[in-house]
Amino acid sequence: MKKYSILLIIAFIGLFGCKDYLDLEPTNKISADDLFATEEGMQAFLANLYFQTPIEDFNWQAWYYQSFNFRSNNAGLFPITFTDEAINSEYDATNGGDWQFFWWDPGYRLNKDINMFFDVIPTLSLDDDAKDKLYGEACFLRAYTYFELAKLYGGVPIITKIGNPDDESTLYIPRSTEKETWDFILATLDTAIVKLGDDNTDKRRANKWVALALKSRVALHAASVAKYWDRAPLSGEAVDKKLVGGMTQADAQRYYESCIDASQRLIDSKEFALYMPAPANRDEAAENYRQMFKDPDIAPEEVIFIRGYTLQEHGHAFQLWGETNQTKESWPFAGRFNPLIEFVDQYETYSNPGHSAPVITTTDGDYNNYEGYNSSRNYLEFDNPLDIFADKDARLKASVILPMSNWKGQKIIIQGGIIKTDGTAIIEGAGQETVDGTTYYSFGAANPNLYSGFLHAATHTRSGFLVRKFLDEDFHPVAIWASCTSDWIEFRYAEILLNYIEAVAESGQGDASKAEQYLNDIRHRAGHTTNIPLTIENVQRERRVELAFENKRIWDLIRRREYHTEFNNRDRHALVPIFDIRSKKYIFVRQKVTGTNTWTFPERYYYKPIGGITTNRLIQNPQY
Amino acid sequence: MKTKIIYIIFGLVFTLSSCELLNFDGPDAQFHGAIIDEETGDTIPQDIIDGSTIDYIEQGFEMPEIQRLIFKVDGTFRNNLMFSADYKMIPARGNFFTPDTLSIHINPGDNKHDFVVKPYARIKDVTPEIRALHGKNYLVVTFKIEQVATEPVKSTMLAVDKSPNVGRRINERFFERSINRVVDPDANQVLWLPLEYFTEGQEYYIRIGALMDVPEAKYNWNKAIKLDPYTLPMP
Repeated sequence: MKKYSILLIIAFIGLFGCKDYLDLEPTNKISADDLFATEEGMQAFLANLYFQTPIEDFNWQAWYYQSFNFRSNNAGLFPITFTDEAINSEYDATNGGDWQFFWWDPGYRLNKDINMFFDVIPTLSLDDDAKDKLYGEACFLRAYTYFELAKLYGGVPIITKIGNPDDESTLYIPRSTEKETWDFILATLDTAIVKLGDDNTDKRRANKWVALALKSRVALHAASVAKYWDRAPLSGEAVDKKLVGGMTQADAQRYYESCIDASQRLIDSKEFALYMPAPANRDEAAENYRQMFKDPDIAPEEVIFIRGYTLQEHGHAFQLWGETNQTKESWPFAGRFNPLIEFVDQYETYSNPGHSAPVITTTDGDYNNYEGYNSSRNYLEFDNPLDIFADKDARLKASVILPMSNWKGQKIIIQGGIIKTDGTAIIEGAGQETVDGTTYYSFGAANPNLYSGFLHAATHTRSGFLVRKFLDEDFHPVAIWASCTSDWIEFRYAEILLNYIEAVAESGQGDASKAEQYLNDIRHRAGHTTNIPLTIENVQRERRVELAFENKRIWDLIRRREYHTEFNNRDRHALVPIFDIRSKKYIFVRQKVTGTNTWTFPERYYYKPIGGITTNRLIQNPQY
Repeated sequence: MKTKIIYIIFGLVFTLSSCELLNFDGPDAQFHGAIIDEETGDTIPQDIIDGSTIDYIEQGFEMPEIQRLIFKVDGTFRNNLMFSADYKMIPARGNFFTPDTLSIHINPGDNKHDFVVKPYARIKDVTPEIRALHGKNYLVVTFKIEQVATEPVKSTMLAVDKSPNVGRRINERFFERSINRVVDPDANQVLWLPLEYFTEGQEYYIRIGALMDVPEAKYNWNKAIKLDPYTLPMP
């Protein structure tokens, strides 16, 4: 009998236990309905989408498996150190292998969140105008996401709806061709441009102009890949099916036209202008340019879109790694970004406009000799080491800390050696000589805290230069990763001008006289007065100089298929200032950066490997 | 007591036997051979890093990954950790005309296969010597290029290293020269490096390469020559 009553109780629970009141909503999570029910909830969701958006800012880590928003110790391996702009003083990026940047999973996770946002917009209790703007914003974020995927992987699966687990066809979506992918991104941006508002007072959120700026960048990238694919053709199934490459010169022309069109609309709107376009002199030009990157808020006319940082723990680490050894205070990890002499060479001189101006160190003018100091060569001598750069484009001293230039009120001592009175040279090694009561040190000062170069320590530059751009003289390093809060300019007017100029020069479309005028407008802002003609070479040099360290060079090398020829067993080079005690003057030696290896970029790196192809059934990129 | 023993026996039976089925067999085959010039019968010298490869796909999987073998500098290859199975194989992206895909069965144990192909070019009559120019001595290497591919020669390269694996990516010193034209097989080509780059009394391996202007082509090399540059004749 007892047994039966137990059975009855069990049956009772079994039959009536599944009551709705037992289905509790978790109290520590917010449901989608609740989230989107309020304006604030929707804003929070949108803010998270912006956070995930692949903006290649200070926290972009193209190193190993790191990607965006990387805020802890990144070893100072910023993307500029994977190019011909700079080298990292501690870790030498070798053989392109370190440029292993994967963004497949995070990219498609973001895509899923954006798709969810698309689904939610029609259900919101907003007026149609507000919904339209949100729709435009979602299109902008989607285009941004697919732009990054297309840059890395070529043609990718275009997924615009959240998959249904019961329907395989919504889960296994094959790759589109590279051309279809670029067309999809551009079409998505066209929708964004129509739907978004044109008020640009909030520089941290998408508007019509930001979408136009993105379109200008996307179209130029697509056009360049289409035009220059043949410089590094690949083979394999992905190529046969046009999942990578497979675009024609007609496609290139069409994309250049898109770039010209988008850039022209932005330029013609007169919403933007160059910041301080007519400086009184070169010093003013340099200072204006530097100030803009230190604090983009001062230049709303030039800045189109910003990634801002507010909280100290949630900022970035650029200046922590970039500070000079002499000004690093108690922070231990400075001096990492060492610009190369071949980068410094790119800056024109005012006396010979229109040409890169390699730094000449010897009377024979041979700047291709990197064999180190040789007493039989005749070196040019300088009383003041800065004189060797005196005639160079003002943007050089705004972007680079030159040897013996001032930073934070100090002379930054970057010296690689001395020539003793008996003619022996001590280069990149400790040494000293006392003459007439004055002691001369090979590194320019008595102890390592008093100088910033060539000690073969990570805190001291190996190339003779340090980065000045983006640094703030009022910033004092504190021992918190990501404690820099200077903002990142993602789009600025000068880039749009440069995109326009390049598209015109490469395609022959558009207005060549306007393009030439824009090219020289940018140069006039840097203190130039002589105009130069519109040529492909002039455009590329101007791009490298104007957009230095802005994480653009790495993509310029990739989209124009120049990486594998620029980095073919390539050495990277330093400029070593040496004090000659006999003459009491400085000489300079061009040589290979000590302790570095040659670097080669394999052609397969133009596309990244797709992960998990055995389960997602996608066709792998060539040579992976 | 008796139940305890039974438990212990059960326990032992489970722990000792349970892991067996989860283990797959390890690689049971070795695969080796060479890439052979169909005309001369010699092996075709290769680069180790970023050189020619043999792409192979193990059959019987729905979404197989492409695996790759690389060559030694002398043009031979060896993989001692292969699985016996049916494979599709193709030597690809190399310094030779890509042959048709082959179906190869790998048996347990030793397997040898030579791939017979047509190289893009052959390097001939390599003669290193010392020459003086403007009071400076140079290691000068003359050679001839016999083109098989009809495309232009993109560049030539002199690579020098202390290791016999010297090549495009493994070298202490190299000189790469743009050519960008079809060359006469009887014409002397020349490459050079300053003699001061080398240590006297040290033996180096030198190789001469020619890169054809074919998509994804690799350098065609001569066999490495071992020499001390300072002992070379000076004509």
